[in-house]
Amino acid sequence: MVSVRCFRLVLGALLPVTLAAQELPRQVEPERLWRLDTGG
Amino acid sequence: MFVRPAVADGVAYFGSCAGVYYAIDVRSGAIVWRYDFRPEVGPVSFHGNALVTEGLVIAPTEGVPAHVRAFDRHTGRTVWQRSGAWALTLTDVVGSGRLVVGRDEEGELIALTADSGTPVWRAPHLARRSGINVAKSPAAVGSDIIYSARDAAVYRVDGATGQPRWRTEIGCDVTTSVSVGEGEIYVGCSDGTLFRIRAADGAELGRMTLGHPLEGRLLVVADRVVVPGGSGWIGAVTRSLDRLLWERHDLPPLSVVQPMQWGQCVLTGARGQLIALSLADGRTCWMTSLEGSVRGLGATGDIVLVGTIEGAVYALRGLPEAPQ
Repeated sequence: MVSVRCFRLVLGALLPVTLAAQELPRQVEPERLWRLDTGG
Repeated sequence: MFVRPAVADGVAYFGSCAGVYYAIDVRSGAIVWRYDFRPEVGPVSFHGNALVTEGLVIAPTEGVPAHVRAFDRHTGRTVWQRSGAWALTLTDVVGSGRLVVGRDEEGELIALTADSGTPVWRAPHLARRSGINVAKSPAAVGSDIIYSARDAAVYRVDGATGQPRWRTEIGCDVTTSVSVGEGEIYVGCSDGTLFRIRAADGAELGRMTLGHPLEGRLLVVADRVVVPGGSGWIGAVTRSLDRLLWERHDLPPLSVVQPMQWGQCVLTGARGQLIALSLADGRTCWMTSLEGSVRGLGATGDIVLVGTIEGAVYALRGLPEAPQ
């Protein structure tokens, strides 16, 4: 059985990770029509 | 690609730091024409934005000697070119009626005819090349020209003659563009001060001190001014300069000096990332990964053009928050 203290520790450890995940900016993958390498 | 590509009739015009100028079909990426400056002119780079007229693309170059070239924008044929004195270099070229205006190799403001490159006037000021970079690009207000000079002042001159209409001393080293919006001029300094000046008579309407050196091009959008700064700082203030709306100092060092509006966002970038920030509150709208350090940005329709310091140019479609 998980003690209340342990539950709080687990929750305390997970919560910041969850919040951090929510705050991550949205990575998008647009269509790349073309790429030109101009050499500089 | 450091510049904002000029786009007309589905063709983008830009130069690379390798010394080649391109006209590219935006949708297909096909090269319409290209011109290699190196055999005739020597190594050049392109930091100032070109001007596209009905028939020409007028491209300032940065190199020794100073050089400007006007191409037939459909064929790439050289219509006129100038080297040395009376060559437009270092900054953007802007239009004023039948004239084109920019900086010469000493940093002075000069005007040539658009159709033949014939010298018309030079505005004698205290500019020095050492203090001139692309942020010192002039701006057009109607047929007049606004620009900053080395005497810590902002000028408005008659675009047809170069004769000054007013001079406003702001007392600090201008390190941003002069940006114009609805009869007002915004300009920023290395000490973090942002100024609001009335375009009609040069009266100072307000100033605001931000805690960061201001660098690059100010973006005036609706009721706000987006202000790029050094390192990873960027912010937005009200146009009345009475309030800081938002600021970001948690971003990686930004390599874009010319942020661009994209719908309700402003595009900027850093090494490996194109970043969209909300114009409303500065929050990150989205990011997308690219190889290289993002530098030059342009857009036409639903396509964003992204140039990197390393030389790759991308055409991206399907980015969120597209302009309506």
